[in-house]
Formats: sequence, structure tokens, C-alpha cells
Amino acid sequence: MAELPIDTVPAKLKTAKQKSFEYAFAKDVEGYEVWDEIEIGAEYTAAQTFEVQLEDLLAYARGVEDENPLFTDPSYARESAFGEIVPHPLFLVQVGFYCIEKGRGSWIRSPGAANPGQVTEIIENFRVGEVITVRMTAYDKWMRGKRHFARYRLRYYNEHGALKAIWWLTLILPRDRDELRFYASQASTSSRGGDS
Amino acid sequence: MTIGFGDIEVGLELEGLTREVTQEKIVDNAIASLDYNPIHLDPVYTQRTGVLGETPVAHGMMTLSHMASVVTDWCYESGAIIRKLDGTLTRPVAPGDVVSYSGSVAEKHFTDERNGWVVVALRAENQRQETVGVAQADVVFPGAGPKYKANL
Repeated sequence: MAELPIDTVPAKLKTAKQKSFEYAFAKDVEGYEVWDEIEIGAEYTAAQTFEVQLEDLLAYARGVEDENPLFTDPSYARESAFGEIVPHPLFLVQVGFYCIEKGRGSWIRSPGAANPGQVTEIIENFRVGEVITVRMTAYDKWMRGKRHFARYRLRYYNEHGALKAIWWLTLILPRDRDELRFYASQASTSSRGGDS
Repeated sequence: MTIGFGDIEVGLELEGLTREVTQEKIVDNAIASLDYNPIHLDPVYTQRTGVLGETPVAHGMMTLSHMASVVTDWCYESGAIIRKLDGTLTRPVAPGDVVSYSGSVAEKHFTDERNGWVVVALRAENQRQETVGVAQADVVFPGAGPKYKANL
């Protein structure tokens, strides 16, 4: 059988967080929140924190084909107006997925989810060495036709409690747990982490 | 090249960029973003479910990242930063697509004599001139340029 794209992932993993992260999204879906269970106004703190490492910043920029030396060359960035390496503006996506790998918020991993568009706000650039905590608020949910939308507000704080960024995360989600299970069951064995 | 906030005019066209989409690049983006949704990486899944077509598609955040790059290429050397990025994805992007990204200054505002911000309207189109995404970037220039006298 031809190699699937997901089968090429392990050989490409470079950073410590990439190597430790569970990438079989169709595995263990029983723990994912589903649309009909979302409680508007509920607030959670993500299960994991994210210590910003230089390799994380470099990996994101290169992964989105942005070789701007402000994002990829620490020596160059030190001489710039910023005085240090600059995160790509959407680096917070990596932070968000890492922090909510498990537990509340893991609906972001749902097979069957689709992305209609996003709003992100940078209050202050992330810096190497900061430890980021993500706090989530279930902001809204609605239907448009047969599609079920959910919006969460993710707020990113450093170890001093300073607000660094906000992600108004909107996804089209499976309606309920049966639908989620259906989508998960359609993934190849590789996407389910080897489960048959 | 640095940009003076006072030199920016509404209507200014930014230098665009073009990206050819391949499955390998989608894999790289998944690893970088930690978004391994099977819709991006699993053709077995996409054929069975038909979600957004029968082939894997690129991450919407990949499209938004490239739109952001139009802005960062233009002004980050000046110390400006994107304060807010508001994007809508209008069509899936698949391997084989070639997407062109463009932007222009849509609004200009100042907060005081030296500091200001602009709104950049961004667009992404595939090789069929179909819009795959639009976005608006609020970009803050923190006193990086010459003094700008408010035209009150």
C-alpha cells in the first residue's frame, strides 16, 4: 500500500514538542468535547503549559515557508528593531494545539472539524523562555444550515500573568458524539495511531 | 527596507507572493502547527467522508499564515507588528493549487504624533482566480518612522 502523508510525519519531527505530541487525532476521541455538550460561558485552563523555545519559533516559521530572517535568524533579529527573534504572527496556533492536546479544549482535534476562518490578536510578541498558559472560554455556538459552529476565546498568559495573545477560535464541528465517532472511524489506521 | 508611518498612503499595494501547494508542504505545516486533522493528511479519510472534496486539503491556517507574510515582509523591518488578523476562508486549497497573495493599505489611523496603525486588506486567489481567503490585518507602527503631524 502506498505510503500515506501521515506516515511521513515521524521522520520529519525535529523539536522536543513535536516528538512528544500525539498526532493521531482520530485516536481516543471519546475524550473530545462535542458541539452539543458545549456550555456557553464555561471557562477552563488548558491542561498543558508551553515553554517557548527557540526551536519552536524557528519550526513554525519554516513550516509555513516564511524564511524572513527576523523569524529564522537569531543573529539578524538581535540587530533589528525588535532586538530578539520574532515569532511569526500565527505562532500562537502551535502553542494552542500543544496546550490543549489533552482534556478540555481537545475538540480542536476533532475529525470532522473544518476551519471557516479565524481572528487572532497579538498583545505582545512571545519571547523565548516564557511559559505560556492558555485559558479558554466557550464564547458562542450556533448553526448555519446543517453546520454547527463553535467559538472559543483562547487567552495566552505568560508566567507573570501578562496577557500575550488572544485567539478567537471558530470551528465547524461534528454535531454530537455519534457524528464524531463516525468521522474518527473513517480515518486510516495510521491516523488512528495504529488501531484496527 | 524600513518604512516611515508618515510615508504610507491609503491604496498602497504591497508586494504579493505566490505559493505552490504540495502535499509535502501540507505535512510540514501540520508538524509546525501541530494540527494533524486527518482532512489534511489522510486521503483514505477524505475519500470516505468527502469533507471538502476527496483529497486532503491545506490548512486554513496555512493560507492565513501566508497572508500574514505579505504584511510582515512589508513592514516588520520597521518594527511594526500585526496587532490583529481577521481572516475568512472561502474555498479549500488542495495539492497542485497555486495561490497568489496580495494586500493593500485600506485605512490609516494615528494615535499620536509618532504612532499609528494601518489596516491592510488581504486576498488569496488560486490559479483559477477564485478567492480562497480574505483577511484584514491591523498593523501597529510604534514610532518607527519620522514624526507624522496629525492633519486635524
